[in-house]
Amino acid sequence: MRISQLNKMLIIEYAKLLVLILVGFILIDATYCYLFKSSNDLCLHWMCGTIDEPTSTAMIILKLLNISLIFLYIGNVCERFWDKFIIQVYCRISKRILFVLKFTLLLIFHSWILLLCSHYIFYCVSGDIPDAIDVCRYYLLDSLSFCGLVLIYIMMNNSCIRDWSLFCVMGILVINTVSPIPIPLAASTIKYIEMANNLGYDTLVFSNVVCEIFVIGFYAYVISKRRFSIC
Amino acid sequence: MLEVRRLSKKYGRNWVLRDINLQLNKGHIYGFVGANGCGKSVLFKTICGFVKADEGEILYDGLKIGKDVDFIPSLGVLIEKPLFIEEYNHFQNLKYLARIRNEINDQTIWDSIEAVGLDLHNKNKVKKYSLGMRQRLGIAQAIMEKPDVLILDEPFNGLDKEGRSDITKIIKNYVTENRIVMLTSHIDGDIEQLADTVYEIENGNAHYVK
Repeated sequence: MRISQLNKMLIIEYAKLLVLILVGFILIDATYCYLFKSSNDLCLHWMCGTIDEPTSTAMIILKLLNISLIFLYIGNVCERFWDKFIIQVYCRISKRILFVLKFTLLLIFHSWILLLCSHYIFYCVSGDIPDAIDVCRYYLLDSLSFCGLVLIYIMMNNSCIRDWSLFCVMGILVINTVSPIPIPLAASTIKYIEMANNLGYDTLVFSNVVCEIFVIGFYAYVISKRRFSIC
Repeated sequence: MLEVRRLSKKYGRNWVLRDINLQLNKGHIYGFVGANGCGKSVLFKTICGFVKADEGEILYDGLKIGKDVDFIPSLGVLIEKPLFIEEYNHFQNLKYLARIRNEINDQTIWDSIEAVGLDLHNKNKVKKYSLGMRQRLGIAQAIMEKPDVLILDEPFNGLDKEGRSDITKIIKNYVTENRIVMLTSHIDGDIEQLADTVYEIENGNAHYVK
């Protein structure tokens, strides 16, 4: 089954949900920006604070609300397609692992696109667009860590803790945001950028990539050993 | 021939299937009966290769399912509630699935839709379908590529009298010398009328009934 076919299927089936998610980003970000319009460096609130303006509960809620909308989409796809529709696909294909790989890549790609939308919608709504290089740096960190989070979420969604999977992923993000030591897997905060000033951005990206490789390796292991109910 | 050898499957600490041995020959219809939650659907999913067995093996024409091949090579399935792309109509849904194997043309898809008694001119999206219409479409997707192994879990669910009669005819006509049909139903009459051999699933074991 071609990846373009799968992509078309998801877009058609979830068009309304995707539009609602984009509207959700705008509403959340617009409300936040309206409430904190007097603040300097509003765009950096997206990265959960600066040295002058440390992380606040509002910043964490802003980030979590945006991210939870993306996981709402991924959860919906996992639950409905991966769990039920997949039976009709499986009986028509011969290579299970190849299909699971394609589907996973597609989900990660979709989540990256949504993450990119959430970044840009916030910058546009705040009217405070940072330097293009900074935007790319923030997005690279966010998207790198997001890949691992999506894989963890898919694994949890296919396991016995399915009902708690969204809370678990949100928990990782919260801990990362409030913890003095960021978890590279959920690197999406300015603290990470702050650390970059001491450790060097490249080192942090590298440590993030190493973390991702471990998660991808673990995901490949559970898929190949068929530890999930249906995958 | 489809052979199930000492098949066991557990969820957590609970053994759903235990030491099941079956020998299913081509040209026959096999019925499986049992109480709700006795493991009929799990047995079907395991035989197909969708769920990994904890013990035992399944062989289809000498090929080990899960080792030599991931799934039974020529398979048509309706297990539990069929799920479709809600924004597509009946033909678009079947066409989408048919593209995966790319073995049949549009006319064959239309023939399957007609065979299960769905209106060819109905352009409604699947989200507007009743339970019975979804069930008919589920059976159409299972039979449209004329697979060698047809597995139908509760195919009469949600069907009216006419629908049950249509599907009974389809299943009877479907079996030829190179095909196997396996089905379950909670209505004993359906199974007795259709199946050559009947097994009852009880306490995780399969007992020969007829």
